[in-house]
Amino acid sequence: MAGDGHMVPELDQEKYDADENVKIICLGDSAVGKSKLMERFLVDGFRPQQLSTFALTLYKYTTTVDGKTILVDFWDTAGQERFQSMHASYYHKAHACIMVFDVQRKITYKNLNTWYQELREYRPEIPCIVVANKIDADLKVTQKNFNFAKKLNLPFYFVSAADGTNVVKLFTDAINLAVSYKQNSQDFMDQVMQELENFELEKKVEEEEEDISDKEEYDNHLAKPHTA
Amino acid sequence: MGDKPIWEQIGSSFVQHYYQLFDSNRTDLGAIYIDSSCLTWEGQQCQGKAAIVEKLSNLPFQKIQHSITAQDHQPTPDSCILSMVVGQLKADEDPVMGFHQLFLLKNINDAWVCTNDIFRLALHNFG
Repeated sequence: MAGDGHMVPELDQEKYDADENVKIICLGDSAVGKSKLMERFLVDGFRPQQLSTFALTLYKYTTTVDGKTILVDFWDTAGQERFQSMHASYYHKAHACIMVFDVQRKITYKNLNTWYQELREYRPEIPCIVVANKIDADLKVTQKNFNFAKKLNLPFYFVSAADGTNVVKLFTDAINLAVSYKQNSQDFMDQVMQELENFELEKKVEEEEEDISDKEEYDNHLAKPHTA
Repeated sequence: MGDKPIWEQIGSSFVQHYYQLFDSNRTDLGAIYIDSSCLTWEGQQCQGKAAIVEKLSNLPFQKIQHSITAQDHQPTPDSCILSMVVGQLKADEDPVMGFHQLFLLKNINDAWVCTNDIFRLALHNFG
């Protein structure tokens, strides 16, 4: 049962294949303000979904892009990355990534390299935005050069979750990038993976047909104690 | 308390001592391991006091707090003690997560040391 996200509707990632659904993941060290940024953007009356058995927090958001309704799922980690590397399904089917560091802590900027490498292992082509958070603590940091984003040709934003600077712009742009990535996916890997998945599905259907009598027996057997 | 079997007493004092050290100054945990001790941390193996202390010291959080939900202890045929702990932890400001940890304790020169230590977060895969 564990390992099968289909048991938990929120984690059924098939839905991200539908046109109106996009998945945006947040990456970056602990305590750089990923959740604070999310909460700042979504403000009032908003309850994130804590999925504690998976150490995940999901933020749902509905918006309109080019006249079409888009349902956005923002994925945020809840600390598992301190103990182990991030589970591959975190990256699965993501359409954009927001990568955050804390301008007050140099190490969180350095670690962007590691985060970026891991991201590209799983999602070689998705748009990735680099975010310098906590600029309210010292506005002079906005004069500094942060070459990481420039070197990789990634969009870069100075933001403050505390006072709201650039927060709406960041998320609006992230959503637009995710939607346009999805519509004009140049990601060859995606297509290949999609084909492979379909291929496996077809195979599975055949297998299931053969096994169906066994399975039914098994289910009946399981159901007995409940009906008794 | 006096009625508890000896392995329960030793096991539970070890567990209490271990998490007290872990939560206050985990670099001091070297004292409970020996050079042939093994640690498996979320599937990653290390062996030896030095390697274990390095692994635990470098975990990326400042503060950590463990809360023990349950612990079980058993004597083994070769006079060791096997302990299993189920609990919750909170690292810095992150949400609380469940964990499981297993220890094998051995008496060497009148002191109890940990020869084997296995740790897992109680998280499940998804998707």
